[in-house]
Amino acid sequence: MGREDSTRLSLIKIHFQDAKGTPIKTIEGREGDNILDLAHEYDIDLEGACEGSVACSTCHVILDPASYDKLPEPEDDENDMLDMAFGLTDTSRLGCQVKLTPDLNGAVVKLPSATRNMFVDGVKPTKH
Amino acid sequence: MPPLKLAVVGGGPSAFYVASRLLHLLPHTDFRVHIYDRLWAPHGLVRYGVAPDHPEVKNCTHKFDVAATDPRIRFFGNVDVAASPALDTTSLSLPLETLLPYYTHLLFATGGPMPRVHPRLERSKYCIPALDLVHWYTMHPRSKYPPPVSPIPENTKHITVIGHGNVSLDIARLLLTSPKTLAPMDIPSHVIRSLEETWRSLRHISIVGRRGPRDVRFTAKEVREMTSLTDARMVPIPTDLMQAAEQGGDAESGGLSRQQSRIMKLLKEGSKKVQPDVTKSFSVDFWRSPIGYNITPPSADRRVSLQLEGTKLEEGRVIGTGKVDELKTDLIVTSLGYESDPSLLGTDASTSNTLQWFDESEGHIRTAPGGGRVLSREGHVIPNVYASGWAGRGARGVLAGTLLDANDVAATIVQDWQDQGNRTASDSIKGDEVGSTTLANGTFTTLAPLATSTPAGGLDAPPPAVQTSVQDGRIVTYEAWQRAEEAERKRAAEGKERERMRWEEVQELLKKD
Repeated sequence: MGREDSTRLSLIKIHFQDAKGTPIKTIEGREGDNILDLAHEYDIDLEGACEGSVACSTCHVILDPASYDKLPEPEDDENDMLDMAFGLTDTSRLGCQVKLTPDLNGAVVKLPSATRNMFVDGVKPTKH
Repeated sequence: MPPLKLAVVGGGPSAFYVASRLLHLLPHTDFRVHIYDRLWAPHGLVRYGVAPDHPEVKNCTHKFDVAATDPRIRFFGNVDVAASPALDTTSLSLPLETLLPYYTHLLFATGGPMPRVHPRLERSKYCIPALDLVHWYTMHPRSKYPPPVSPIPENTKHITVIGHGNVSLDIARLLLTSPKTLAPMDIPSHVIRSLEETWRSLRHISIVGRRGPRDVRFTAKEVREMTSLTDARMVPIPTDLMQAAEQGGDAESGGLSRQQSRIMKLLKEGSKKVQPDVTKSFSVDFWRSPIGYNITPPSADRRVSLQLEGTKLEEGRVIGTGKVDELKTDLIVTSLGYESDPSLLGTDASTSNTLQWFDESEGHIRTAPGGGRVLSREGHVIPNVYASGWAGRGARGVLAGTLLDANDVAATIVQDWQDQGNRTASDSIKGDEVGSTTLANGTFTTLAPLATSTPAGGLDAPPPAVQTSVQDGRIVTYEAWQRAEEAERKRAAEGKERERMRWEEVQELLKKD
């Protein structure tokens, strides 16, 4: 589906990537959906400990710069939490505060490492 | 391949995040996690630490509830594994070594429950650790202040909090917020009544630290809340002090981090705010270190005279300037950080090698960097023994850090378990390598090792004493906890989050069911 089509249907494509930039999943959301809820809906490994009430930094995500610039500035309370996020970048946001708009179609959302230890992060548990 | 049957000591957020992550990593594996807590209720600092006016932080328990519904995860509240008998008669005393044969893996998630003390500030009615207040307003089962006792003496007008961390600000904020505002929150009603009394007399809280504005441990959200209080104004911080901190003129070097500059900005804005009509105030006081206090005669205007010495930095270290001021106050509250409790590892360092897993200088269990494998004093990995959260890394940081650490530890447990399984299968190495390496060296003398093949009780069963105590209601399972929690919500006055229960009340409730 091309960009024009998905916009007309109000579906907004979001590309999720892991910490190393490897694609995880591309999903389609609607205007007003937030990144945290979408991640949970599509079983993407993003925590949301305070459930979107801006009281933690566990849904920290990194956006591509162009998409970041399209968003309104973070509020003070979001910045207070981002202060404590691990691996903070210039295009970091809390997933719960990023609401989809049509011009975010095609945005790349990178998840920071689920652990701080890259060694154990690479473990691929086998199923028994 | 031997099974994965993990005993977790401590039932706070770290424990539940590890359990949760194991479910995520091993969705189709028949493993077991048994979480033990010495208190009847789970969730550790989420229940007994998070400030009542921060209810959103407690939303993380919904994830813990989901984990606990999985039959592979069980919770046993009211079990004390400390080597010395429990201080109270409530909990089942089950020393660690009796637990171990029933498990293949052991995780310490015991947090940092011990407040650091200040050598010059002896505990008294007028000098208490902040944890006393936290235990009081969260109705911690081991609180020294049973209802209706308050740790704050009558007619307290001036309080001095020592330490520049979030616990200090939590306490200052709660005491400088109208009890009417606090009443609907998760604070016991008897505490609200005591707070109303304190509210009538309290005029000022001084928050004292021995370093400058660059080195505060509190975070921006908590500073913002202080400078936004409607009933208390901030005493301006001297402009030259802030300027010195910004310019690095206080002998520190390097630029400010994002967090530092945002906090300094908040402190400056707070200093400029004008609130002429309020009768209460607070101050954030820098470069002062307590060197002692005297209790003044009852006729005096303030109950305590606190001696504070000026401090400065010299080659990065805080030293006294020799200039001493007297601060007249009514109550000293210390919040100088927290340490893990070594007592659950043993009581005597000469006989208990497990006690040597405890790093006295750091105040927590010694772990390998990343992954939480517990290390002996010599730096050897103790097989299948792990520490997560504050117990393994020290008492600092917020829930997000605890979560990342728990993910690390869970991944390491899975990795070690699978590696051992592979070795057992391919190299026909006997399982006794696992869990008893140090026993072979003759150094692992007092602790029965973890199970290396099928654990005692099989995959499912905890030790018999635990099973018995679950049946007679002394141990609280997760289901029982959820009934108690529901009752706490139901019995609260309309609009109030919950009315906490004492253990005696919980027992009555669970008997009825």
